Amino acid sequence: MKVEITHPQTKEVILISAEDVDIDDLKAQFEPLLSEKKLRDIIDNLNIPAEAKVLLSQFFDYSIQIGTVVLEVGKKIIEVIRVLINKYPNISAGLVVGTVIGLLLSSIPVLGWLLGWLLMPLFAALGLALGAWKEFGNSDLGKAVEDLTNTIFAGLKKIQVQA
Amino acid sequence: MSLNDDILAINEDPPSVIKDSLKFKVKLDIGEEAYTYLNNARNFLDWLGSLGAGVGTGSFAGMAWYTTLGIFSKAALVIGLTTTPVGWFIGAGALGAITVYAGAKFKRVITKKEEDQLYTKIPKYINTPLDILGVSLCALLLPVAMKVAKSDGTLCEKEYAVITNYLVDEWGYHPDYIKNAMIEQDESLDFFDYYQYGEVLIQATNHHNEIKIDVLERELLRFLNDIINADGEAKPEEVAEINRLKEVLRTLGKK
Repeated sequence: MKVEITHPQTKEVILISAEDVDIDDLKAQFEPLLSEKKLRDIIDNLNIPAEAKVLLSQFFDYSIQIGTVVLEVGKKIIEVIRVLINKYPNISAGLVVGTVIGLLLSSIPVLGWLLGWLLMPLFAALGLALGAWKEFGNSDLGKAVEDLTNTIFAGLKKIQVQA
Repeated sequence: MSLNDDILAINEDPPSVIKDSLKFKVKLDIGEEAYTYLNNARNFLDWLGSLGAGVGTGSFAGMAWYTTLGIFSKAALVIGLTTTPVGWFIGAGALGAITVYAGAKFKRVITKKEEDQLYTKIPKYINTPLDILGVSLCALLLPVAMKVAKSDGTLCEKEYAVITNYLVDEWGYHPDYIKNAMIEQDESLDFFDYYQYGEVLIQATNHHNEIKIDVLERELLRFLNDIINADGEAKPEEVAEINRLKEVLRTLGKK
């Protein structure tokens, strides 16, 4: 199945190829489990600079529409960040945010296309180098993010972006 | 435990100290100062634009922000800006940020002075985690309020209502948090000391940039006046407590 999607920031329209994608499975995986109020509270209570919180809050608006199904990918990313902050309390919140965003956006083309423009300002606001996530690829945190990339975000990997 | 179980477990966390974050941020009255890295929101928009336009840290906005960073952040940023991003970031990234830049340019039509006259600026987010700031602020507002309210020997229903309404309705605190905090405070009120309170006030305002001493002083005095007038009559003991607080605030002002 080929579907047109519009970049929410640039309004650029591209074709995505979703041949092997199980839409119902993706819909179930990206169903937000936390309310929007709860997600905003999570961002409010992160120990990161206000500028980084503003950029992170941009994720709320990002979803991928395939046919009639809307995948709330941005909200799922915030949920994942919160879970990993709980799991790795000795790693700074900024580093968890940077590693999750960096690894997800660099390994899932459609996420990189949608959210790549946020990457440089977000990393600068967090005080991290743009490629910092590569340093954490082999850490426990990096492996946890990779596991998520291969499970919950695996369906998105099948979506091919054709500019 | 699956990821979904982990996410659902977050719903079982205790409720946030701050129930209405917007009310809380309005009361802080810090406006653009919330954005400490970039001094204010205007610089932030300029800086986002300069990144998108490929100007990097060479622009005025970029340099202004750069000087506010620590050594490690500067090093990280330089490495970051010279790191080649993954190919497909580039096209969308540049276009996206240029859109942001266009927005930033447009906003500059209204001067800062005009904006101040037209709007109350509420930061969307602040640096300190909101619940931590909420606990710190409650520790500055509640003890002195209880001390003043109980100075005539009793905390009447009307005084109780003024305190809870002020903290819940005006500041946006969670009612359960305030209820429990008042019980705890009541038990330790005998140990309240104005000198120590002044020290805590200094520490809190030094530690949290979001707590402004002039805003806190203004809020406290209005709050305490409402408490002593709650039962229709300001008693001499209550007025004396407020005067003691004013003395502490005056001493702080001289430091």
